Amino acid sequence: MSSSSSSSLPPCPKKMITLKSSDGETFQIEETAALQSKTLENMIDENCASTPIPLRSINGKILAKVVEFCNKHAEVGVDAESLHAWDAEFVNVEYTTLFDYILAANFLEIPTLLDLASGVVGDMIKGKTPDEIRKMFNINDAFSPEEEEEVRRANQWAFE
Amino acid sequence: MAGKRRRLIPPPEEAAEEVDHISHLPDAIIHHIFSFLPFKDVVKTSLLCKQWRFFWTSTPYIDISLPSKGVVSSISRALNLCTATKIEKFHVDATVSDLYINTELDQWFRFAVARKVEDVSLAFGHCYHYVPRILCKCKSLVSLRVSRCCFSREITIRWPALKKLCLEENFMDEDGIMKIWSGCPVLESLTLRYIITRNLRIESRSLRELVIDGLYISSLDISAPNLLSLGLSSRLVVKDFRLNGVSSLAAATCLTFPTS
Repeated sequence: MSSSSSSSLPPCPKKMITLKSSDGETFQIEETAALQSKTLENMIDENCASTPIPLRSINGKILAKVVEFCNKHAEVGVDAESLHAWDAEFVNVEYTTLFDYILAANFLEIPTLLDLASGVVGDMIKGKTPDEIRKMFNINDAFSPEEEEEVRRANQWAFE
Repeated sequence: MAGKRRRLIPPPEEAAEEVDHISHLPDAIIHHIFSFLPFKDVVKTSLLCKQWRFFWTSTPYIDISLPSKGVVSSISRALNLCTATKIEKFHVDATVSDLYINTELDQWFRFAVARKVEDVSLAFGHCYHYVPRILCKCKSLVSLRVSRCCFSREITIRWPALKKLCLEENFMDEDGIMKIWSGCPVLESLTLRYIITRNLRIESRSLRELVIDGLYISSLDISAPNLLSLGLSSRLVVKDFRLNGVSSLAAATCLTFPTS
Protein backbone atom coordinates (compact mmCIF):
# COMPACT_ATOMS: atom_id res chain seq x y z
CA MET A 1 0.00 0.00 0.00
CA SER A 2 1.24 3.47 -0.79
CA SER A 3 1.74 5.64 2.25
CA SER A 4 1.03 8.94 0.48
CA SER A 5 -2.21 10.56 1.49
CA SER A 6 -4.79 11.45 -1.13
CA SER A 7 -4.23 15.18 -0.57
CA SER A 8 -0.61 14.99 -1.74
CA LEU A 9 -1.48 13.25 -5.01
CA PRO A 10 -1.39 15.39 -8.16
CA PRO A 11 -4.82 16.14 -9.57
CA CYS A 12 -6.11 13.31 -11.69
CA PRO A 13 -5.13 14.10 -15.31
CA LYS A 14 -8.10 14.72 -17.54
CA LYS A 15 -8.68 11.87 -19.91
CA MET A 16 -8.40 13.16 -23.46
CA ILE A 17 -9.28 11.62 -26.77
CA THR A 18 -8.12 12.71 -30.21
CA LEU A 19 -10.36 13.24 -33.22
CA LYS A 20 -9.04 13.49 -36.77
CA SER A 21 -10.98 15.43 -39.42
CA SER A 22 -11.37 14.46 -43.09
CA ASP A 23 -8.62 16.94 -44.00
CA GLY A 24 -6.19 15.55 -41.45
CA GLU A 25 -6.52 18.11 -38.61
CA THR A 26 -6.46 16.65 -35.12
CA PHE A 27 -8.47 17.89 -32.15
CA GLN A 28 -8.16 16.98 -28.50
CA ILE A 29 -11.35 16.71 -26.50
CA GLU A 30 -11.92 15.72 -22.90
CA GLU A 31 -13.62 12.37 -22.58
CA THR A 32 -16.37 13.87 -20.41
CA ALA A 33 -17.22 16.36 -23.19
CA ALA A 34 -16.97 13.69 -25.89
CA LEU A 35 -19.57 11.55 -24.09
CA GLN A 36 -22.29 13.83 -25.46
CA SER A 37 -21.73 12.01 -28.72
CA LYS A 38 -23.26 8.53 -28.61
CA THR A 39 -20.96 7.47 -31.45
CA LEU A 40 -17.86 8.50 -29.46
CA GLU A 41 -19.31 7.07 -26.26
CA ASN A 42 -19.62 3.67 -27.94
CA MET A 43 -16.02 3.88 -29.14
CA ILE A 44 -14.82 4.85 -25.66
CA ASP A 45 -16.81 1.96 -24.15
CA GLU A 46 -15.27 -0.46 -26.61
CA ASN A 47 -11.76 0.87 -25.92
CA CYS A 48 -11.42 2.12 -29.50
CA ALA A 49 -10.59 5.70 -28.48
CA SER A 50 -6.93 5.29 -27.49
CA THR A 51 -5.69 6.22 -30.97
CA PRO A 52 -6.90 9.25 -33.01
CA ILE A 53 -10.44 8.61 -34.23
CA PRO A 54 -10.75 9.32 -37.97
CA LEU A 55 -13.95 11.21 -38.87
CA ARG A 56 -13.90 11.03 -42.67
CA SER A 57 -17.16 12.88 -43.21
CA ILE A 58 -16.34 15.96 -41.09
CA ASN A 59 -13.81 18.60 -42.13
CA GLY A 60 -11.54 20.48 -39.73
CA LYS A 61 -13.54 23.70 -39.77
CA ILE A 62 -16.76 21.96 -38.72
CA LEU A 63 -15.08 19.54 -36.32
CA ALA A 64 -13.49 22.49 -34.49
CA LYS A 65 -16.97 23.95 -33.99
CA VAL A 66 -18.43 20.61 -32.88
CA VAL A 67 -15.65 20.24 -30.29
CA GLU A 68 -16.33 23.82 -29.13
CA PHE A 69 -20.04 22.98 -28.78
CA CYS A 70 -19.36 19.81 -26.78
CA ASN A 71 -16.89 21.64 -24.51
CA LYS A 72 -19.39 24.42 -23.81
CA HIS A 73 -22.19 21.98 -23.06
CA ALA A 74 -19.93 19.99 -20.72
CA GLU A 75 -19.00 23.08 -18.69
CA VAL A 76 -20.18 22.93 -15.12
CA GLY A 77 -22.17 25.77 -13.58
CA VAL A 78 -23.41 27.45 -16.77
CA ASP A 79 -26.95 28.69 -16.19
CA ALA A 80 -29.63 27.79 -18.73
CA GLU A 81 -30.13 31.37 -19.86
CA SER A 82 -26.51 32.07 -20.75
CA LEU A 83 -26.19 28.67 -22.45
CA HIS A 84 -29.27 29.51 -24.49
CA ALA A 85 -27.69 32.81 -25.57
CA TRP A 86 -24.43 31.02 -26.41
CA ASP A 87 -26.33 28.44 -28.50
CA ALA A 88 -28.17 31.19 -30.39
CA GLU A 89 -24.84 32.78 -31.29
CA PHE A 90 -23.37 29.39 -32.24
CA VAL A 91 -26.06 28.75 -34.86
CA ASN A 92 -26.05 32.32 -36.17
CA VAL A 93 -24.26 31.14 -39.34
CA GLU A 94 -24.92 30.55 -43.05
CA TYR A 95 -27.45 27.82 -43.70
CA THR A 96 -24.83 25.69 -45.47
CA THR A 97 -22.83 25.65 -42.23
CA LEU A 98 -26.02 24.71 -40.36
CA PHE A 99 -26.38 21.72 -42.69
CA ASP A 100 -22.76 20.76 -41.94
CA TYR A 101 -23.54 20.94 -38.21
CA ILE A 102 -26.64 18.79 -38.74
CA LEU A 103 -24.75 16.16 -40.73
CA ALA A 104 -21.90 16.08 -38.20
CA ALA A 105 -24.33 15.90 -35.26
CA ASN A 106 -26.22 13.13 -37.03
CA PHE A 107 -23.06 11.11 -37.67
CA LEU A 108 -21.70 11.65 -34.16
CA GLU A 109 -25.16 11.29 -32.61
CA ILE A 110 -25.19 14.53 -30.61
CA PRO A 111 -28.95 15.13 -30.09
CA THR A 112 -28.56 18.61 -28.55
CA LEU A 113 -26.63 19.93 -31.56
CA LEU A 114 -28.85 18.07 -34.04
CA ASP A 115 -32.00 19.58 -32.55
CA LEU A 116 -30.49 23.04 -32.18
CA ALA A 117 -29.38 23.29 -35.83
CA SER A 118 -32.45 21.49 -37.25
CA GLY A 119 -34.71 23.81 -35.25
CA VAL A 120 -33.05 26.86 -36.79
CA VAL A 121 -33.53 25.45 -40.31
CA GLY A 122 -37.16 24.72 -39.36
CA ASP A 123 -37.58 28.33 -38.27
CA MET A 124 -36.15 29.49 -41.61
CA ILE A 125 -38.84 27.50 -43.46
CA LYS A 126 -41.78 28.18 -41.14
CA GLY A 127 -44.42 30.51 -42.57
CA LYS A 128 -42.50 31.22 -45.79
CA THR A 129 -43.99 30.83 -49.26
CA PRO A 130 -42.62 28.03 -51.49
CA ASP A 131 -41.06 30.72 -53.66
CA GLU A 132 -39.22 32.27 -50.70
CA ILE A 133 -37.96 28.83 -49.60
CA ARG A 134 -36.79 28.01 -53.16
CA LYS A 135 -34.81 31.26 -53.35
CA MET A 136 -33.35 30.84 -49.86
CA PHE A 137 -32.01 27.33 -50.55
CA ASN A 138 -31.35 27.56 -54.31
CA ILE A 139 -33.95 24.90 -55.08
CA ASN A 140 -34.36 24.48 -58.83
CA ASP A 141 -36.17 21.92 -60.96
CA ALA A 142 -39.29 24.05 -60.67
CA PHE A 143 -42.71 23.01 -61.90
CA SER A 144 -44.25 24.30 -65.10
CA PRO A 145 -47.06 26.79 -64.39
CA GLU A 146 -49.64 24.06 -65.15
CA GLU A 147 -47.96 21.56 -62.82
CA GLU A 148 -47.64 24.19 -60.12
CA GLU A 149 -51.33 24.92 -60.35
CA GLU A 150 -52.11 21.21 -60.04
CA VAL A 151 -49.91 20.76 -56.95
CA ARG A 152 -51.35 23.90 -55.38
CA ARG A 153 -54.91 22.70 -55.99
CA ALA A 154 -54.18 19.30 -54.44
CA ASN A 155 -53.44 20.93 -51.07
CA GLN A 156 -54.89 24.40 -51.38
CA TRP A 157 -55.36 24.75 -47.59
CA ALA A 158 -51.60 24.63 -47.01
CA PHE A 159 -50.98 27.63 -49.26
CA GLU A 160 -53.66 29.95 -47.86
CA MET B 1 -30.97 8.32 -37.52
CA ALA B 2 -30.71 6.49 -40.82
CA GLY B 3 -28.37 7.87 -43.44
CA LYS B 4 -30.44 6.83 -46.45
CA ARG B 5 -30.34 9.30 -49.27
CA ARG B 6 -33.33 10.12 -51.38
CA ARG B 7 -31.38 11.79 -54.13
CA LEU B 8 -27.97 10.56 -55.00
CA ILE B 9 -26.95 13.10 -57.64
CA PRO B 10 -23.98 14.93 -56.13
CA PRO B 11 -23.97 18.72 -56.34
CA PRO B 12 -21.84 19.88 -59.28
CA GLU B 13 -18.57 21.38 -58.05
CA GLU B 14 -18.40 24.13 -60.65
CA ALA B 15 -21.52 25.89 -59.47
CA ALA B 16 -21.00 25.60 -55.73
CA GLU B 17 -22.85 28.78 -54.86
CA GLU B 18 -25.90 27.64 -56.81
CA VAL B 19 -26.03 24.20 -55.23
CA ASP B 20 -29.30 23.05 -53.72
CA HIS B 21 -27.82 21.71 -50.50
CA ILE B 22 -31.11 21.03 -48.75
CA SER B 23 -32.37 18.63 -51.41
CA HIS B 24 -29.18 16.59 -50.96
CA LEU B 25 -29.64 16.02 -47.24
CA PRO B 26 -30.53 12.44 -46.25
CA ASP B 27 -34.27 11.76 -45.92
CA ALA B 28 -34.06 11.15 -42.18
CA ILE B 29 -32.51 14.60 -41.66
CA ILE B 30 -35.18 16.36 -43.71
CA HIS B 31 -37.79 14.54 -41.65
CA HIS B 32 -36.01 15.68 -38.50
CA ILE B 33 -36.22 19.28 -39.74
CA PHE B 34 -39.92 18.62 -40.48
CA SER B 35 -40.36 17.66 -36.81
CA PHE B 36 -39.96 21.37 -36.00
CA LEU B 37 -42.62 22.47 -38.50
CA PRO B 38 -46.42 22.61 -38.40
CA PHE B 39 -48.07 20.08 -40.74
CA LYS B 40 -49.16 22.94 -42.99
CA ASP B 41 -45.55 23.97 -43.65
CA VAL B 42 -44.57 20.33 -44.24
CA VAL B 43 -47.34 19.93 -46.86
CA LYS B 44 -46.30 23.24 -48.39
CA THR B 45 -42.92 21.73 -49.37
CA SER B 46 -44.79 19.82 -52.11
CA LEU B 47 -44.58 22.99 -54.18
CA LEU B 48 -40.80 23.49 -53.84
CA CYS B 49 -39.86 21.39 -56.86
CA LYS B 50 -40.54 18.05 -58.53
CA GLN B 51 -38.25 16.14 -56.16
CA TRP B 52 -40.15 17.45 -53.18
CA ARG B 53 -43.66 16.97 -54.54
CA PHE B 54 -44.55 13.81 -52.62
CA PHE B 55 -41.78 13.76 -50.03
CA TRP B 56 -44.00 15.31 -47.33
CA THR B 57 -46.30 12.25 -47.46
CA SER B 58 -43.61 10.15 -45.72
CA THR B 59 -43.30 12.47 -42.69
CA PRO B 60 -43.54 10.73 -39.32
CA TYR B 61 -44.10 14.09 -37.55
CA ILE B 62 -47.57 15.63 -37.76
CA ASP B 63 -48.38 18.82 -35.90
CA ILE B 64 -51.85 20.05 -36.84
CA SER B 65 -53.14 23.46 -35.96
CA LEU B 66 -56.85 24.02 -36.54
CA PRO B 67 -57.62 27.67 -37.15
CA SER B 68 -61.09 27.05 -38.61
CA LYS B 69 -63.57 24.39 -39.66
CA GLY B 70 -62.70 25.01 -43.32
CA VAL B 71 -59.40 23.12 -43.19
CA VAL B 72 -60.68 19.98 -41.42
CA SER B 73 -61.65 17.99 -44.51
CA SER B 74 -58.46 19.09 -46.30
CA ILE B 75 -56.37 17.81 -43.40
CA SER B 76 -58.27 14.50 -43.47
CA ARG B 77 -57.47 14.19 -47.17
CA ALA B 78 -53.81 15.04 -46.57
CA LEU B 79 -53.57 12.43 -43.80
CA ASN B 80 -55.01 9.83 -46.17
CA LEU B 81 -52.00 10.40 -48.41
CA CYS B 82 -49.48 9.89 -45.60
CA THR B 83 -47.41 6.75 -45.99
CA ALA B 84 -45.21 6.56 -42.87
CA THR B 85 -45.62 3.20 -41.20
CA LYS B 86 -44.54 4.71 -37.88
CA ILE B 87 -45.78 8.08 -36.59
CA GLU B 88 -43.45 9.63 -34.03
CA LYS B 89 -45.47 12.71 -33.19
CA PHE B 90 -49.13 13.58 -33.63
CA HIS B 91 -50.21 16.92 -32.20
CA VAL B 92 -53.60 18.56 -32.67
CA ASP B 93 -54.08 22.10 -31.45
CA ALA B 94 -57.64 23.44 -31.60
CA THR B 95 -57.27 26.06 -28.87
CA VAL B 96 -58.17 28.91 -31.22
CA SER B 97 -61.08 27.39 -33.15
CA ASP B 98 -62.28 25.06 -30.34
CA LEU B 99 -64.04 22.90 -32.97
CA TYR B 100 -66.37 19.98 -32.32
CA ILE B 101 -64.99 17.50 -34.80
CA ASN B 102 -65.35 14.21 -32.96
CA THR B 103 -65.76 12.09 -36.09
CA GLU B 104 -62.67 13.53 -37.73
CA LEU B 105 -60.64 13.39 -34.53
CA ASP B 106 -61.53 9.72 -34.14
CA GLN B 107 -60.34 9.07 -37.68
CA TRP B 108 -57.15 11.07 -37.21
CA PHE B 109 -56.24 9.33 -33.98
CA ARG B 110 -57.13 5.94 -35.44
CA PHE B 111 -54.57 6.77 -38.15
CA ALA B 112 -51.95 7.72 -35.54
CA VAL B 113 -52.61 4.84 -33.14
CA ALA B 114 -52.48 2.29 -35.99
CA ARG B 115 -49.03 3.69 -36.81
CA LYS B 116 -47.77 3.23 -33.26
CA VAL B 117 -47.63 6.90 -32.36
CA GLU B 118 -45.33 7.78 -29.42
CA ASP B 119 -45.87 11.47 -28.78
CA VAL B 120 -49.41 12.88 -28.70
CA SER B 121 -50.76 16.27 -27.77
CA LEU B 122 -54.41 17.32 -27.94
CA ALA B 123 -55.53 20.80 -26.92
CA PHE B 124 -58.83 22.66 -27.08
CA GLY B 125 -60.04 26.10 -26.05
CA HIS B 126 -62.65 24.96 -23.50
CA CYS B 127 -62.85 21.80 -21.45
CA TYR B 128 -66.09 20.32 -22.75
CA HIS B 129 -64.38 18.06 -25.28
CA TYR B 130 -63.56 14.38 -24.79
CA VAL B 131 -60.37 12.48 -25.45
CA PRO B 132 -60.93 10.08 -28.39
CA ARG B 133 -61.51 6.57 -27.03
CA ILE B 134 -58.94 4.97 -29.30
CA LEU B 135 -56.25 7.04 -27.61
CA CYS B 136 -57.04 5.55 -24.20
CA LYS B 137 -55.73 2.16 -25.29
CA CYS B 138 -52.73 3.27 -27.29
CA LYS B 139 -49.96 0.85 -26.31
CA SER B 140 -47.21 2.75 -28.12
CA LEU B 141 -47.73 6.11 -26.33
CA VAL B 142 -44.62 7.41 -24.56
CA SER B 143 -45.57 11.05 -24.10
CA LEU B 144 -49.07 12.55 -23.84
CA ARG B 145 -50.37 16.05 -23.26
CA VAL B 146 -54.08 16.65 -22.95
CA SER B 147 -55.31 20.20 -22.51
CA ARG B 148 -58.92 21.22 -21.84
CA CYS B 149 -60.22 17.82 -22.85
CA CYS B 150 -61.79 15.28 -20.48
CA PHE B 151 -61.83 11.52 -20.22
CA SER B 152 -65.28 9.98 -20.40
CA ARG B 153 -66.24 8.07 -17.26
CA GLU B 154 -66.56 4.59 -18.70
CA ILE B 155 -63.21 4.42 -20.47
CA THR B 156 -60.38 2.09 -19.56
CA ILE B 157 -56.87 3.43 -19.73
CA ARG B 158 -54.06 1.23 -21.01
CA TRP B 159 -50.83 3.07 -21.55
CA PRO B 160 -48.19 0.43 -20.84
CA ALA B 161 -45.33 2.49 -22.35
CA LEU B 162 -46.34 5.99 -21.21
CA LYS B 163 -43.50 7.81 -19.45
CA LYS B 164 -44.58 11.41 -19.59
CA LEU B 165 -48.07 12.74 -18.98
CA CYS B 166 -49.28 16.32 -18.82
CA LEU B 167 -52.91 17.06 -17.99
CA GLU B 168 -54.07 20.64 -18.17
CA GLU B 169 -57.36 22.20 -17.17
CA ASN B 170 -59.40 19.02 -16.98
CA PHE B 171 -62.21 17.94 -14.68
CA MET B 172 -61.40 14.60 -13.08
CA ASP B 173 -63.13 12.56 -10.44
CA GLU B 174 -61.20 10.33 -8.05
CA ASP B 175 -62.16 7.28 -10.07
CA GLY B 176 -60.73 8.74 -13.24
CA ILE B 177 -57.50 9.61 -11.50
CA MET B 178 -57.15 6.09 -10.11
CA LYS B 179 -57.67 4.71 -13.61
CA ILE B 180 -54.69 6.69 -14.79
CA TRP B 181 -52.35 5.36 -12.10
CA SER B 182 -53.41 1.81 -12.74
CA GLY B 183 -53.16 2.23 -16.51
CA CYS B 184 -49.63 3.72 -16.55
CA PRO B 185 -47.23 1.24 -14.93
CA VAL B 186 -44.05 3.00 -16.13
CA LEU B 187 -45.05 6.66 -15.81
CA GLU B 188 -41.99 8.75 -14.85
CA SER B 189 -43.05 12.35 -15.25
CA LEU B 190 -46.42 13.86 -14.42
CA THR B 191 -47.53 17.46 -14.74
CA LEU B 192 -50.98 18.53 -13.56
CA ARG B 193 -52.12 22.07 -14.30
CA TYR B 194 -55.45 23.31 -13.05
CA ILE B 195 -57.02 19.90 -12.64
CA ILE B 196 -60.39 20.33 -10.97
CA THR B 197 -61.07 17.56 -8.50
CA ARG B 198 -61.96 17.18 -4.83
CA ASN B 199 -59.42 14.70 -3.56
CA LEU B 200 -56.25 14.06 -5.47
CA ARG B 201 -54.39 10.91 -4.59
CA ILE B 202 -51.22 10.19 -6.53
CA GLU B 203 -49.99 6.67 -6.12
CA SER B 204 -47.22 5.46 -8.36
CA ARG B 205 -44.11 3.36 -7.88
CA SER B 206 -42.55 4.49 -11.15
CA LEU B 207 -43.04 8.25 -10.81
CA ARG B 208 -39.79 10.26 -10.62
CA GLU B 209 -40.90 13.79 -11.35
CA LEU B 210 -44.14 15.50 -10.34
CA VAL B 211 -45.32 19.05 -10.96
CA ILE B 212 -48.65 20.29 -9.64
CA ASP B 213 -49.69 23.76 -10.62
CA GLY B 214 -52.81 25.71 -9.80
CA LEU B 215 -55.24 23.45 -8.02
CA TYR B 216 -57.94 24.14 -5.48
CA ILE B 217 -58.56 20.85 -3.80
CA SER B 218 -59.55 19.51 -0.40
CA SER B 219 -56.84 16.93 -0.06
CA LEU B 220 -53.65 15.99 -1.80
CA ASP B 221 -52.04 12.68 -0.95
CA ILE B 222 -48.80 11.69 -2.65
CA SER B 223 -47.39 8.23 -2.33
CA ALA B 224 -44.47 7.71 -4.69
CA PRO B 225 -41.43 5.90 -3.28
CA ASN B 226 -39.23 6.64 -6.31
CA LEU B 227 -40.12 10.31 -6.65
CA LEU B 228 -36.96 12.40 -7.14
CA SER B 229 -38.39 15.83 -7.77
CA LEU B 230 -41.58 17.52 -6.66
CA GLY B 231 -42.69 20.95 -7.83
CA LEU B 232 -45.70 22.62 -6.23
CA SER B 233 -46.86 25.97 -7.45
CA SER B 234 -47.62 28.99 -5.36
CA ARG B 235 -51.09 28.93 -6.93
CA LEU B 236 -51.89 25.62 -5.24
CA VAL B 237 -54.53 25.71 -2.51
CA VAL B 238 -54.81 22.52 -0.45
CA LYS B 239 -56.56 22.02 2.87
CA ASP B 240 -55.04 18.64 3.68
CA PHE B 241 -51.64 17.73 2.25
CA ARG B 242 -49.98 14.38 2.88
CA LEU B 243 -46.68 13.06 1.67
CA ASN B 244 -46.29 9.33 2.21
CA GLY B 245 -43.44 7.13 1.18
CA VAL B 246 -41.41 9.62 -0.78
CA SER B 247 -38.09 8.29 0.50
CA SER B 248 -36.20 9.05 -2.72
CA LEU B 249 -37.24 12.69 -2.88
CA ALA B 250 -34.12 14.78 -3.50
CA ALA B 251 -35.63 18.14 -4.44
CA ALA B 252 -38.89 19.82 -3.66
CA THR B 253 -39.45 23.25 -5.08
CA CYS B 254 -42.12 25.84 -4.91
CA LEU B 255 -42.67 26.98 -8.45
CA THR B 256 -43.61 30.57 -8.99
CA PHE B 257 -45.48 31.64 -12.07
CA PRO B 258 -46.14 35.08 -13.41
CA THR B 259 -49.70 36.13 -12.72
CA SER B 260 -51.66 36.24 -15.92
